[in-house]
Amino acid sequence: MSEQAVVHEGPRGRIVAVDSAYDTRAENRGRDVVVNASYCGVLPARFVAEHAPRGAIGVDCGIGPEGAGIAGLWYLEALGIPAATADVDTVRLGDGVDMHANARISRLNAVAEACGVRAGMPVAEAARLLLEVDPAPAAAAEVTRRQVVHVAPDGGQVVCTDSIAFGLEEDRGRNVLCTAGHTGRSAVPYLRRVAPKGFVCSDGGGGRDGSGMAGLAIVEADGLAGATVDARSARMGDGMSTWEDGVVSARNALAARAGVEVGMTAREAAVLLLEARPEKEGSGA
Amino acid sequence: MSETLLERESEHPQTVVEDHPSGRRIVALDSARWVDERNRDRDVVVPASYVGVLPARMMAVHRPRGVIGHDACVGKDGAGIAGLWYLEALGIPAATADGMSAEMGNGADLWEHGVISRVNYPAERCGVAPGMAVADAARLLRDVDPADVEVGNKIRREVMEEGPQGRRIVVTDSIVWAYPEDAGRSVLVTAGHTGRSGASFLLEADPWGFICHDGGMSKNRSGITGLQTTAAHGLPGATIDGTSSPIGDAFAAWEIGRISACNEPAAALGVAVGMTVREAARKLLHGERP
Repeated sequence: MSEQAVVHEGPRGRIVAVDSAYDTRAENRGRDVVVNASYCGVLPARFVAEHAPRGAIGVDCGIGPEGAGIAGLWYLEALGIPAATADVDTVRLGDGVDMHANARISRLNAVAEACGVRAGMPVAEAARLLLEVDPAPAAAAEVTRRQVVHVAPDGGQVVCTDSIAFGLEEDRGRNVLCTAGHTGRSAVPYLRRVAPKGFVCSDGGGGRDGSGMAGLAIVEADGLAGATVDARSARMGDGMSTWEDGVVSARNALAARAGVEVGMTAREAAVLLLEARPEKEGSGA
Repeated sequence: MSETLLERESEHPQTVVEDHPSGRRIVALDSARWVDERNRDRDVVVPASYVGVLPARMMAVHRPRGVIGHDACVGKDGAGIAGLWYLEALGIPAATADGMSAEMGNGADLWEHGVISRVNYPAERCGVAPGMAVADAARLLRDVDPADVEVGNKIRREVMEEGPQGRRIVVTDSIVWAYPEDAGRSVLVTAGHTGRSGASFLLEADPWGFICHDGGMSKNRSGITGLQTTAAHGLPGATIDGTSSPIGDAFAAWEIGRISACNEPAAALGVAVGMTVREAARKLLHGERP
């Protein structure tokens, strides 16, 4: 076990930089933010969690197959520990002090987000936020991550939110929702009740018999235009990723009429859906 | 702020697919959102949702006995299975079914046709394993009380093969779980990175040989600098290609990993880039160090 380098000290605790997650100690409990140059998988997260520091920042190690380099973020989130990872290309693995001084944040859990940490931020700044901000506890149903990302001249919006179940009354017939659950049959009742102007959801990786996008055809009868993004292109459960990273894998006939095509970015598709004229005014084509 | 659809929803359709004298039940659902207080502590829920962090949060507040969902073909950044780790932290055993074995949004199909793809540590301890039918896995979660569910360190370690002079291949997730008896004797296949902090553990453990993870290589190829440090001590070693196998899971590396780099002493024993981890471990096991 090697030394902990104290890189900042304040009334609420310290920011300590360590070379390995294994160097987290009992004295860090509830007080210190531990910046460690380990990957942030479940295994190192278990070590960190054993001593429940105030916050933790690890390395994403390129995220890797199945997100194994960042999977510990979700383990720590469940325990209420704010955590983030640094982009591996900005990090010298195993050098905690360098990481604190030079690296930038790539990914974070919902608790760290509530502290104000954002992707792209320097690790030093993120660590200060984790030290100084008490994240407000949020019930599961409150973590909707709703965000307006585009507004049309008529006031219609493209809204990102993590699940179609987070749709609001104001979305009905007016907004395009970019959400991140699959579009199988269980999504249909939600799509019908929210009845947005258009929607872009995940295809859930396809699933057997194309069941992850089966809802597209079903809701056509309700006049709903929609598309799915390939779950390999955008993270499920992250509506902003649908908008920023998504590539369209399928769309229904109503979305096709609005110009949405397979292979298009979700961004283009969402804006087309927002700008589409209602069917009844839709010219004599 | 008005209420979301989720908050306004009152119907939570659940299908009890198996009752049991213990009072514990197996319940199939089309969506994880419909897990509720009825399921607390007693039911294994089988929802045909992906097991991302979002659905995991919604289920965890009701603390079902166990969870078997859908992996949505794992997807970008493992978002389809990330909830397994959230549930693990809370001591809830959870697994996913292979995305092509069951329909999304169809709980009955998941129950009848699903095949397990991924498991968290508490579910593994209950005996659930990839390749198992969802129904069998659900019964295990119903009948077996998960052990070792406290937050903290979990050691996974297994001797895979024996070699000459008492040597053996040991697969364990981290180099920090080396035992004194591994010194000079074991080929350790582990899955942490091989940067400078990993290298100090390797020198301390001083095994016969090692295979660790390359940590995605990273800035200045810092994920494998330990190869040189150990070469200077005559310790043969290689790294697992981060694009071939997930970091942190040495057992996955043993099954699917490939070698991305090795040091001089390992090369002298026949280890080469591109080789499977298993093949490289055997070269180290049977090779005679100078």
